Amino acid sequence: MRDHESFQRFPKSSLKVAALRKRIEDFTLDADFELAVGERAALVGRSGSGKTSLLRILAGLEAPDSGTVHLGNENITFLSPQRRGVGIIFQEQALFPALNVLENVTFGFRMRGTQGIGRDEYEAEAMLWLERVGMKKFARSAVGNLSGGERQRIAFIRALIWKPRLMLLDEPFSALDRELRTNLCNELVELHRLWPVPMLLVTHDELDVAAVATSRLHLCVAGDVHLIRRAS
Amino acid sequence: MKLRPGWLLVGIAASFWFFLVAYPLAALALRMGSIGSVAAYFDPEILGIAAMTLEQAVWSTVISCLIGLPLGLWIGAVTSREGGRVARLSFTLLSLPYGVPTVVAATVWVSLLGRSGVIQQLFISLLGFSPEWIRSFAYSLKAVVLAHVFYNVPWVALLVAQARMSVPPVQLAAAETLGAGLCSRTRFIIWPQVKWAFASAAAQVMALCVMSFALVLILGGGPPVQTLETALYARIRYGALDVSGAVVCAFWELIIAMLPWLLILLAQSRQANYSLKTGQTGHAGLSPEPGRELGQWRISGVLGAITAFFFLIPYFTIFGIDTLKTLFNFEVLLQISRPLQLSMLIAVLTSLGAVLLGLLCVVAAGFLRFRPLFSTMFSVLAALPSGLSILVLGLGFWVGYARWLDPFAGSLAAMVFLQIAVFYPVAFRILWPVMERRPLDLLDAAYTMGASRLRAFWSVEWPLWRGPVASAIGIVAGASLGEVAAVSLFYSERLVPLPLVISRWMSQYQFAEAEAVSALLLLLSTGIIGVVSYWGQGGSSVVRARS
Amino acid sequence: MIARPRSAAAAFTAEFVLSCVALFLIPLFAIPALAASGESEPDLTIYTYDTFAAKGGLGPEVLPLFEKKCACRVRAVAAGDAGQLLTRIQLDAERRDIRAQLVLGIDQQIWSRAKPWLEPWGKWVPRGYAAIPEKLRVENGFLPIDYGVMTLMADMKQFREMQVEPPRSLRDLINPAFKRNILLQDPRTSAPGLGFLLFAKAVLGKDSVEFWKSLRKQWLTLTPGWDGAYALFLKGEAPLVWSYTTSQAYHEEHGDSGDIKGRRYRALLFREGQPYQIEGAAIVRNSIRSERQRVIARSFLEFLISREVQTRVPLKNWMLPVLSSVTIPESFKRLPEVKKLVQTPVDPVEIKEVLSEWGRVISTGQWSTGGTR
Repeated sequence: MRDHESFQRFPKSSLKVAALRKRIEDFTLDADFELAVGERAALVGRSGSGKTSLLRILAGLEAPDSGTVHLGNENITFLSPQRRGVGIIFQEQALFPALNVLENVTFGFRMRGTQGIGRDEYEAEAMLWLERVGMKKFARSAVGNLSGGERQRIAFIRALIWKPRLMLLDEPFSALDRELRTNLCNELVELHRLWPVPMLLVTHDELDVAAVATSRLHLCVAGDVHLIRRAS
Repeated sequence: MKLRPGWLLVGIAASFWFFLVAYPLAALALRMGSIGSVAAYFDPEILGIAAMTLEQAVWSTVISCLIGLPLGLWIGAVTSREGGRVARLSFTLLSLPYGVPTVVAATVWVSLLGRSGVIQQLFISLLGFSPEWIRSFAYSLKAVVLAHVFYNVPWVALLVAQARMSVPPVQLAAAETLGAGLCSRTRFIIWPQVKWAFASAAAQVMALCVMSFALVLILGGGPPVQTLETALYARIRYGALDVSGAVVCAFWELIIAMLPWLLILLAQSRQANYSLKTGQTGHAGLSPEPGRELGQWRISGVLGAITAFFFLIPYFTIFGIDTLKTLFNFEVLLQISRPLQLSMLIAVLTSLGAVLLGLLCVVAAGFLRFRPLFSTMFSVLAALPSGLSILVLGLGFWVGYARWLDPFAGSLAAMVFLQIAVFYPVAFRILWPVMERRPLDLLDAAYTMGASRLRAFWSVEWPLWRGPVASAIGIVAGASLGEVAAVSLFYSERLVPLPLVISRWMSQYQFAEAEAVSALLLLLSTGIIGVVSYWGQGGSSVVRARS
Repeated sequence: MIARPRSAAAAFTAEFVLSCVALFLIPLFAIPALAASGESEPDLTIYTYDTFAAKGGLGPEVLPLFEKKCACRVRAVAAGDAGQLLTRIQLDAERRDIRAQLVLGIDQQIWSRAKPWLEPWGKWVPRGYAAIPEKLRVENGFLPIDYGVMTLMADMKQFREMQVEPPRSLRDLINPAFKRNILLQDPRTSAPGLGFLLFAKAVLGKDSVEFWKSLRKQWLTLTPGWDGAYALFLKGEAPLVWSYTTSQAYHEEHGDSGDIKGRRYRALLFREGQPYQIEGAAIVRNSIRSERQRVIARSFLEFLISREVQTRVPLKNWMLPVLSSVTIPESFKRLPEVKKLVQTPVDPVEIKEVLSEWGRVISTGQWSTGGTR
């Protein structure tokens, strides 16, 4: 895979979440942790405990009530999602149905600009990534024609190809069978090695944690406060 | 060979369609053929009327779409975030103008734009005079277009907003994180989802404007501002019955209305293909974002509802103190009790009939779904009445069923069947999405747990159907209450529904009473649509949640 | 707080039963609306215009009187306006299913087109026919019942505000002072409207084409019927409306009284004269089924020109009775005296030509209301 300097818009940075608090319905989310460059942390917890909310705050889709989020030295707490440089993979993949596979994968390039790199170049880059996951032949296909696993692979590539500085994954394997999950976990690890930014994986499957994560965050419930801290 | 139940349903639906639509149209076509001279079709007067019909329809449609599209996108975005009551209220308010009887709408606009109207009096009180452009606005093409716009913008906005709401928020969130701003999100994600609904709305508005009758008649200022519909009416309701002339008008009206109708069908088929292609069947993904600043969204939700309400404001001017006093006069109430009962009966029969026929067509279409050729043919023919005016179809009834139907003897059946023929496509469009999303897996689960077909239907499927069926009944009933064309074709002295009481009283100098009845008609038709639509959306949200 | 779930069976039963009950009940309450009177076949059926048969019209008042006299049953079938009456009898003849013996409410224009479907009297002449003035007699077979003089009604309050004198002749109407101040009816759908068109043709002859081209800029709107135009007139939309002189009497009877100069609504007369409309009744061809029925039909025609009916005509029909010996209300006595009644064409071919010519002039070229579309 080319590590073209021109495709790199954001430097690799560590993540620091400090005293982040958010009132959600009948509980308060309280998060305080750090993730290093290259770290793949897993956050396990029951449904409705605030995991997705944490990801949305880190992605800039929601604002916290208090606290800060830093990537490197930059305070990104109130930065818009477009400028934040955070990649997120949703449980439902969220591929854009009006665009084909290649257009989905290169969407981030088109939106963020490529500092003088032409369309041919970034499409070629995308084709290389697709080839890596065995999806090159589907480049012009409609995303609706893909299976669950194929869609998830496209979602991975789309989130990573433009080199985000933080990767967030919200239960990306929940709708897949065991064998496919295992394969995708391995592929995710391989893809992450190509661009080792801090990664936070939200899941409730311990096997996924074992396959992907290098560290762990804990979610503890203390009354009406849900604490998210590093596991010691 | 055993006849499958599905084909039986298709046969029954086709039979109804034949008797209600095909046969009357065929009778008209035969009559057209019997008009020996081709020159009759190119009569300069009728061509001039056709040109005016097209012109006012195009202006009305373009302006309605230019306003309705952004309005619908905004309301859709707001209700997508707010959900719940805000969505229901906004959609209900947007659907209400559909129930305003056009005769009442025209009267209202005269009250607003006329010399003695609110707007001119306002200018006079502020400036001491009324500017020429205001004075010349009423009784002109501009007034017709304005009235059409107020009538149709909410419909465009409603369809666009509903389509906008079906865009999964998670896709928009993903696009945001990939750097897409509002324009890019609209271009790549929202617009592909919305465009066919918008095209469908535009085509429906165009067809409605082509077939416009009361608004043109009352606000147009007379010839040359007239439509083929008004010209057709003049030829069958007055003097030496000029059926041939009426048929020529109907011919051109069919031609002009057919174009948007074909576009509707294309839009509907493309919309269905889009759903299949993308695997997207509805409102999937994350619920409205929790945790956003509550105050901020509530304000936009309220603004959305107020904007939707804006298009109803002109119609409330009919409710003056004097009008209400007249309406609650015992004498007046006594005189309108029987016409009111009759109108309610027609509305109930029409709505039940239209929804039953719509359901039959929906089930039949569902059966044909996997036979593309038959399915396309069925959809095309089922939707055909969308492009027909009730006068054209009524003329077909006259011509086709003359041997059995005496139009001047009055016929409740003819009134009801004619309205059913025109309104059942409305029911079809409301109910078809429910059929598309039948919860087959849930039904199977119910069967395996011992439920009979009826119990499984009642417990699993009926909650999904209930809302849309109620909405369809409400919308058709409300529209039927204010419908004038069918009842005017087949009324008699014993069958005088409420809309005809208005014109009868006006010819007896009872103008105040006529206005009071107009107000009552407005209240009933929009009230029914509002209540049932609001309640029915509880079911629609179940459909969305299920998706 | 989570709501306690109801028993599924109870919910099922309740909803199912309620739905069925609602479906049956809703139409039930409306059955009275359709309740047939269970009447037997009447002795005489008359096609009339709507307002005759409607509550408050002449019909409900006079029909019982006649029924008592003849010991028979009469049924009035409302069939719309004069034009629709013609359509009704045409359709009946076409279907060979003639339902009515008399038609009441046709005017002299409609009569000329309806003649093929109506029966002449032959040697019989209705009792009292000789008392009808010559100018109101149309033809053997047509019994005049009432007549109205068509004219412009003026709202003098608006004229005083505009400080403009009302028009005195037909040609005055194209004066720029009256731009968008006139309410007319569409001659294709309205008897008064057609009356105005034919009046202009009778008075102006070939100049009527130019007259209409100019008049296009003058009218505020053309309504399909008299009622629409008059409603707008009463709203104050325009100070002039084409109507009948008797409309002045209506307003006087309903409060617009006092000195003629001070009154708000006034009938204007043209120098050229006024057109008039004669409403009448006739026997439908091939409708009489028995000698008794013929006797009843003829008796009813005579009844229509009897004092009993003619005295009621002014305040019920708001038209003038054909019997000049009948005492009319004071408000009718104060109507302006028409010096010249203008006879308008009655030949159907000629009427059709005039209408076609009008249609071509109006539908093409410059728009109505002075160039504003």
